Amino acid sequence: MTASGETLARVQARSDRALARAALAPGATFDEVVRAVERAVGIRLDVVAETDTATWGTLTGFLAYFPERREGTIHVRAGDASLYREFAASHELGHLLDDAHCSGAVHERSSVSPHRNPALSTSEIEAELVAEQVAHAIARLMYAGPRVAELSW
Amino acid sequence: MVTVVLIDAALIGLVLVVVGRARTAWRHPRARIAWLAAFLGVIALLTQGTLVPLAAMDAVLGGTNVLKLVQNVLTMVALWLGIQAGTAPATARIRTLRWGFPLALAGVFVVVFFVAMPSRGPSSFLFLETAAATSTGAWVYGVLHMAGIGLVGVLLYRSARGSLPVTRRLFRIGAVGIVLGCFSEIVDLTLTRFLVPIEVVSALFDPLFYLGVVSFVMGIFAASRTTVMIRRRGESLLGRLEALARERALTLPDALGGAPDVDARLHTLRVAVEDEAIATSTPLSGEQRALLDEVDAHLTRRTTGARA
Repeated sequence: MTASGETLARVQARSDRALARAALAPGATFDEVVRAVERAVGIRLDVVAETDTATWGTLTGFLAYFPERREGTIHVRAGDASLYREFAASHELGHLLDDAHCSGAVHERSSVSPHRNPALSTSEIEAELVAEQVAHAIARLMYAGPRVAELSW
Repeated sequence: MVTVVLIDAALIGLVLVVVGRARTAWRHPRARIAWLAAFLGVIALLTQGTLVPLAAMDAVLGGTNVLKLVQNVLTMVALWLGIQAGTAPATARIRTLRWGFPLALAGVFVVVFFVAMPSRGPSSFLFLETAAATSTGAWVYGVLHMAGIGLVGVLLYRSARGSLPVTRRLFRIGAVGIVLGCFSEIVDLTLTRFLVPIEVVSALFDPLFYLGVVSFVMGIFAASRTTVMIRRRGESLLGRLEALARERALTLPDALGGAPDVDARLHTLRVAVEDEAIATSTPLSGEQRALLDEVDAHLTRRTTGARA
């Protein structure tokens, strides 16, 4: 297996583990997803839509995590469409669900791919890829899961 | 005459469903539940004898009206499967459905049919109504099987809450027709057995019940049409979004390769388009933003509120 193949396999395995922790149900609402992550990680979470984001640049969301208080806040841009805000927040949920979130994650989501960010170390890139993959998986559960009414007849 | 038209209309509708959905049922195990419901419905309606003479079909079963029992069991199971088609989880398969209820009800139908009516006379469309005039056993079976099918009708009404909007209304009208038809038949059988039959009451069952069945079949067609419309809308949006991505020279995200279906690809690409707009500080035009809004509305659709 090539180095990039190994990385992808590791990212996939971490993402699968992270998702399994939350035991999310297809068709869940975003609020239900946040509550499921709270239960899985054992902290209280708030998602805050920030209006003053003029200085955010390419930043689309970030996580403020206070392990000693068992609390966290996820900050997203109020001006973004709700579906995109939820995706940015899901990326941070991905960091929380990832076993290695305390070591190597920057807890910020940029609209720029981590591959194109020279400031990130290899482990940071890997953590970003895991969080992004979890966010996509959460989105599929929320929006792209099969709807019984559309399967019936 | 009206009854024959209603039965044949429902029969033609269900035959179209059976033929039209055969390929889908072959490919997708979940779709086999609905297909089997329609198939059993076709056989149940055929046993009414509007196309093949009733006596000829009953003769195969001994010529003692056992065809009536077959018809009752098939009708009940077909309606129950129709409920399952609309309520069972996306992962459900025919073999994983909770068959206990319909099998128990079918067992009761069979036992009471043979125990309460040991001698049933020659094949006849109205054998039960005729027999109930003199036989309490025929009355017991008639009331029991109508109550059983009426109960399934009530469950059908409840289950319709998870259906697509137009289908929900048609299924509910159908369920009301079926339940009222069953109720009118119970009253008619009781009057026939113990009092004096009333002509108006005797004439109620067929229009109520079969109009209910026709409404149910119309609901199936409405569901089918809406589902196709939603699928085509998703495909059209994906085509337009891909064109937008090309227009903006977007590098397609890695996640797009793993997106298994149209909605997943739509979501992945939609996020990538927004990412690119923010990353390069090149805002989307009004038209491009309107397309993303359409995609969002499609992805966040809650056709019924029930998903699994």
